[in-house]
Amino acid sequence: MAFPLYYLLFPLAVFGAIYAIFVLMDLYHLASFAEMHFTSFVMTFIFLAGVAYICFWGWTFLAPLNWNETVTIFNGITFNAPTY
Amino acid sequence: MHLLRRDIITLIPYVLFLFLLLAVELGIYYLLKNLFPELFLKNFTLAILYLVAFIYTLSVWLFFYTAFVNYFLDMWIITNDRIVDIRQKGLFARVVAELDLFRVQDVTSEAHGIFATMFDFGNVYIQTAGEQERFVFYNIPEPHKIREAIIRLADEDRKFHNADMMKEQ
Repeated sequence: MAFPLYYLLFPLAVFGAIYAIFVLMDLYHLASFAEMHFTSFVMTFIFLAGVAYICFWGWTFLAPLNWNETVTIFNGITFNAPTY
Repeated sequence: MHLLRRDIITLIPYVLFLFLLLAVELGIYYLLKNLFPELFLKNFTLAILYLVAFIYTLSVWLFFYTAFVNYFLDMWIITNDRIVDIRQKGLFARVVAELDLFRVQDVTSEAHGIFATMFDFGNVYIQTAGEQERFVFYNIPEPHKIREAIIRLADEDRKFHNADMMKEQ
């Protein structure tokens, strides 16, 4: 089976969408159910700064890879019907 | 009005757990780098390793933030008329319960363990006359003072309600 390496980015996109939903739910809860508070503001700022920092390092490591390379896996495996 | 949250010190285990999870990631990285250096030479395996590490780090970071949000949204409000118990259970469940102070029958406070005693935090259990389940304030600061305040407020509220009932009669 052969596929280009950028196929691996599709699960990452799905993860990113789910992650965004969770972050938005957290922010929604904080905005709806708690008053504006210095602690929650600072923690949210630290969290978002951390996400930006992790994404920056993720990009730094992932960008140089050749995503157009074709990957072949399970090439030597063949399935034969049993003969009697 | 008193607004109570769990003691901030109860977040420390989450912070330690965050560092532990990040340390595990670093440990696995150095282990793989030393035991299987060929994994870091192929484009395919390198992409998988980086993607897994990226997703893992973001997830751990979100776990910590969600723990903070849960901490921050769990609160108990004590007024001179009632107690409101607001509990955030994960991201998609929220429970709000109220209790009239004059129904309070029994209040118990406890600081259990060395850290709870040292930093003065603990639980307060509130038992009512009705069939309603008892309220519990988890890991709040100064539980004994809060117990005294609830008993005092409940007594005042009971006097107020008794006077009200006498007027009606």
